[in-house]
Order: sequence, then structure tokens, then C-alpha cells
Amino acid sequence: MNRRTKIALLILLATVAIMGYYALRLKRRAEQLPVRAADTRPVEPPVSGKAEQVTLYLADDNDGMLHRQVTSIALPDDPAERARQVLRALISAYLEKSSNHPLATGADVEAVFLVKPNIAVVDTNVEFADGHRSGILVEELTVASVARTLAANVQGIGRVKILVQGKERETLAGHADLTSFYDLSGESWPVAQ
Amino acid sequence: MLPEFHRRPGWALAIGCLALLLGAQEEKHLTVYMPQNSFTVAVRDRDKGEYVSLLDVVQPLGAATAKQDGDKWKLRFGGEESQFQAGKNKVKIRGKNMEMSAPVVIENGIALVPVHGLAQILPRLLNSAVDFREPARRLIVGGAATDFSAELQANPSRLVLHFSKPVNPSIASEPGRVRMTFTKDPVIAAAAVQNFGDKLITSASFAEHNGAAELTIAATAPLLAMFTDDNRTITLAAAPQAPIAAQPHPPAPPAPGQQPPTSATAPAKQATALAPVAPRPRFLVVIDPAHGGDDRGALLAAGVEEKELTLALARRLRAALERSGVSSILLRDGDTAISLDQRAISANTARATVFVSVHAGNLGRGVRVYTARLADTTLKPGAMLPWETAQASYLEESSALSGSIAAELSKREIQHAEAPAQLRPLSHVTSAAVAIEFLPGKDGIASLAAAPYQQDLCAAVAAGIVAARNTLEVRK
Repeated sequence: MNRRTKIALLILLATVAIMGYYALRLKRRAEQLPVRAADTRPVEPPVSGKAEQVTLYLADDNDGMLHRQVTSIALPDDPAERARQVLRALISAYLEKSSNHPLATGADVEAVFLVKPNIAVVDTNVEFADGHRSGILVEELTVASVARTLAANVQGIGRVKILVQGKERETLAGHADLTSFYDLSGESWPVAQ
Repeated sequence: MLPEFHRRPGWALAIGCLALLLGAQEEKHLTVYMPQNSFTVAVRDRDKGEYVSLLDVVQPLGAATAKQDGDKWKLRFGGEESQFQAGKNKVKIRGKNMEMSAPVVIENGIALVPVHGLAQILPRLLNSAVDFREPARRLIVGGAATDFSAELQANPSRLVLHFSKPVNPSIASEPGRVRMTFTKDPVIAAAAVQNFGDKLITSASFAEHNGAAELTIAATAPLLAMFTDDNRTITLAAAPQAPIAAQPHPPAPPAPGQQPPTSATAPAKQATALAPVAPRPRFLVVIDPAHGGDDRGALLAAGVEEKELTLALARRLRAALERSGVSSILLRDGDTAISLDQRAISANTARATVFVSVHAGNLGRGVRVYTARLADTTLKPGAMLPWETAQASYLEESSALSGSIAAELSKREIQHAEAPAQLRPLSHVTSAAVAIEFLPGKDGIASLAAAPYQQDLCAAVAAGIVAARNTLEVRK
């Protein structure tokens, strides 16, 4: 082995050692980053339609009340799909890091069925119910928020029923009754002024 | 001579009703009980009798595959093959020829075997002891049976049923009897009827039918069933009836303009006080410690489950009510799973005056008092109450109770709020009913688990119930 070959070999070895050290450092840094839960929801095509103002009733765990918030989202023409997009906007707000009423990652609304004359049936996914926190207050806030938001944006809605993946469930997470309709004509959940 | 139907509509109606009754025969089932679980299989009526799909019976018991080859049907179960042939009584089970009383039927690739042939073929097929209670179509595999003993205790009379394994029957109360139906529990009895010769509980009779067992307790007064010992013990005792010790009413303030009694009028006043006092109506508080058994409720902190706290709080509430001279009962006094419907049935059967469902949560702080979120309805006397909204005509009473509890919490400066909630069993209860959620805040879970804090909260709630008593009795 001549001298040049030896130098080239040494340079190569040094490069491998430096690259190895760098790769190890990158790995450690990556491990220290907080792991975000994978969002397994399939990506839906963007909603086509005009941006319209909608009213969301956002639950707040801190004061146990609903807070009215007006926001603007693109809405399609089909009434049932419009209702679904309004609820998806509501749930998106709950999935924000800064939400005062966080829902489980992956929570979503699969479909909304508007049944004449005044009934809306909301079909949620499994994550919405299975990952929901348990407790009367926290569950009632979610149900009231969904029902009030629907009623505020879909004319004539008087009763709301929540299903989980197309099936009736006894309670949301051990407390709020999902077997019966949420009647909006009854006494309402407190709304912050 | 046939009746003239066109002239006698009564005949036509009677025959129509009979046809309807015959048509509405109950669906036949075979229930298979295993040591870990149970399942039901549909029984099909064929020309030669009652049949079941053999694959439906064995598949839940272990890995089973089936293959049809012409009129032959082969079943592979437990690593060995069994053969069946359409229209033949003879079958080959794990290499041994056996004969059934009726032939095998093969329909759409599924082998149907006669129900009473199961007693012959299953022990061999499963290689396990099988107790087939054929008239009732109950199949108990591998000694999974649950036996029980009934012990009548006196003063006061109560019937204690001890089961060898936990049970979860559905209970129905009827005039003169309580009926327990065991559909998922392999309950068997040594005797069909047991007479007790007691004034309250006269007899217990056991019957099996269509894949279920039924235990009927005959009694001369309404009974209340209580589950303890992890659902191994059911105690049946008289539902509280007797009025509790009369509470001294506070003296009424003098009417405006009326002079307070002087010493001269004192004897007259005394005479009034000594006059016979009408007994106060029965006042019973039914306390429902929410959750229990597999239903753990909310996880309040590491190792602190809602079901444990609700039971502890419910016991303290009972003690606080007893100190005030108010009768109360707990719907569970152990780690027992009771369905929401069963809780409402028990409260309604006990004819509760007040129903309190106890919860605990880790959101917010203080105490939240909930009433059922239903539209207020006033029913005509004698009208039927719809089960789903039975509470609707008691909302006024519930609201008064909630207000009274809130007032007591205010007096003691305990943070609280009142709200309507969509909750069961609240909406099915036929009395003044509230759910109370104790919310200690994220940093207060340890204090909620501590006795002094629990005592303060429960004393406030009990005081609220006692304060509401007069109002509720007047409304009643």
C-alpha cells in the first residue's frame, strides 16, 4: 500500500467517523422532540363553496359555559354537508393545542343527516367517543356545544341525536345520555354573555 | 255450524286475536354457557324437529372450520375431523360412529343438527363434560354452572341468595312477586320450589325456559333487591314502607297583626301542641353511587377511580341523612355493576321520594347539581308515564330539591352551580331527582378522597335534602 492510498484511506475513515457522530447527534435530537400522535384521518378534498359566516358554540372547561364565536368557513350547497362542515369547524377548534375543551386526536364527524321536519342526526367517529374524557360536566359541554352549534347554523333544528360510527351508544363516555334526542326547546346550557 | 262472522263481529275479532297470538310465537334460542362467557344460537324449526347450526355452536368454543363435499359436511374442530351426511342419522365424531334421533340437514353449506342430538355429539366433539338441559335449551359446558342457596333471615324478614359465581339478572317487580331472569348466567337450582312459611316472603320458584332461567320470589309486600359481594349475593327485603320518626316542625311564626302568646294563653297553646299529630308521609331517599364493577367512571387521578369515590361519598351521605332522621338506601354497597335501567327500576320500585345520583369529576371545582334535561310535562291523573321521560312530570319537585341543596351549599360557602343535564337514570326516575357531581379541582383530588372534606360536602347535601322535605311532602 503506497502513501497516497494510506492518506486516502485515513481521510475516508475520518469522514465515516465524523458522519457517524453527526448521525448519532441528529438521532438524539429527534428523540428529544415531543412525539405528535399520528392523525389517521383520511385527507378529504377541500370543500368548494363560498366562504360564509357561521356561529360556533365553543365549550370552555374553565367556566363550564358555552362561548359564542363567529367565524368564516367555505360551505358547500348541500344542506347536510353544510351542517357537517360547520361541526367539523367546531371540532377543529377543539383539536387546537390552545383549546379550552380538548377532544381526542382524530375526533371527527362522519356525516350529518337532516331528518324532516326538525331533527338532525350526527354520526361521529369512534375517536370522538372513545377518546372523550369522562365526567358529567365535560360530556354535557360537548353534547350541548354540538347541538347548539347545529341549531345556530341550520334553520329549524329542534332535536339532535348523536351516533357513534353509525350506531347508538348508551353514553358518550359514561355520563351524557346518547340514547335520547337532545331537545333544544328544553332549558339550555349556560352561554357566556 | 260455523258462526256467521258478518253478523257476529265479536267472533271474528276473537279468532283474529288468536291468530295473532299464535303468529307472535317467541323466537327459539339455545344458550351455551362456558366458564368465561355465554352466547345464544337461533333454533330453527324443520320437518323433523328443532335444529341448530353446529358451526354456530362450536365456533365460539374454539377454532373450527367446515367444508362441504357433495352431501357430506366435514367439521374440523380441536385438530380432529368429524363427518356429517345430509339425510343420515349416523355421524362420525372424532373417529367414533354415533347415531342421532333425527337426520342431519345441510342448507347453504351449513350443517343443521337436531337439538336433542347435541347431548350425544357434543361431549365427544368438545372432549369435555356437557350438561344439556334440553327442555330449557340450555347447554352448560365444562362445569360452568352457577348454583345458589336461598337463606331466609328473620327480624326483619329478608331472603339472601348466595350464588357460587357473580350473576347479573334482569329484575322485574310485579304485584306479589319479584322475577329475576338469568339469560347470561348458567344458574341452576337443586329444587324447583322452596316454601318459606314466612309472612313476607312466602316462596321461591325456579324455572328454565327458552335458553334462560327464571327465579320468582313470591311476597306479600313489595321487595327491593340489593346486590353485594361482587354480585354473588342478592338480598331481597321489604322496600322501605314505614314512615320515619316524625321530625319536629319549627313553630309557625305568628300571623301579621297577631299577638305573640302571653303566659295567660300558654295552656291553650300547650293543648294544641298535645293534640294528636297526623303521621308524616313516608320519605325515602334512594342514593345511587354511580358506576361500579367494570364501569369505572372517570379516572380522577392515578389510581383514583370515580366508582370508588362515588361509593365513599354515597355512604357518607347516607350517614348524614340518618343523623337527620331521614331513611335512605344505597343502590349499591360494593363494587357492583348495575345497569342504568336497573338503577331506575330499583328507585321506582322502592317508591323513592328523593333520588340522588352521586358522581365525581376532575373538571372544575365545587359541586354541580344537575336536574334532568327534559321538557316539563303535567300528566293527567292515571296517565301512563313514558319510560324515557318518566321524570318529566317530576321536574318541579327536582328543581325545588336542587334549589334547596344549592341554598345549603351557599350557606356553607361551597362553590356550586345548578344545570340541566341529559343523564340516565335521572330521566327515568319517578321522584324528585338530582345528580350531584363533586368536583375537587385538579389539585384537590386527594382532599376529596379524605374523610373530613367528604363529610362537609355530604352534610351540606343532606341538609339540602332535609330542608326540601316539607316542600316535597306538600307537593306530594
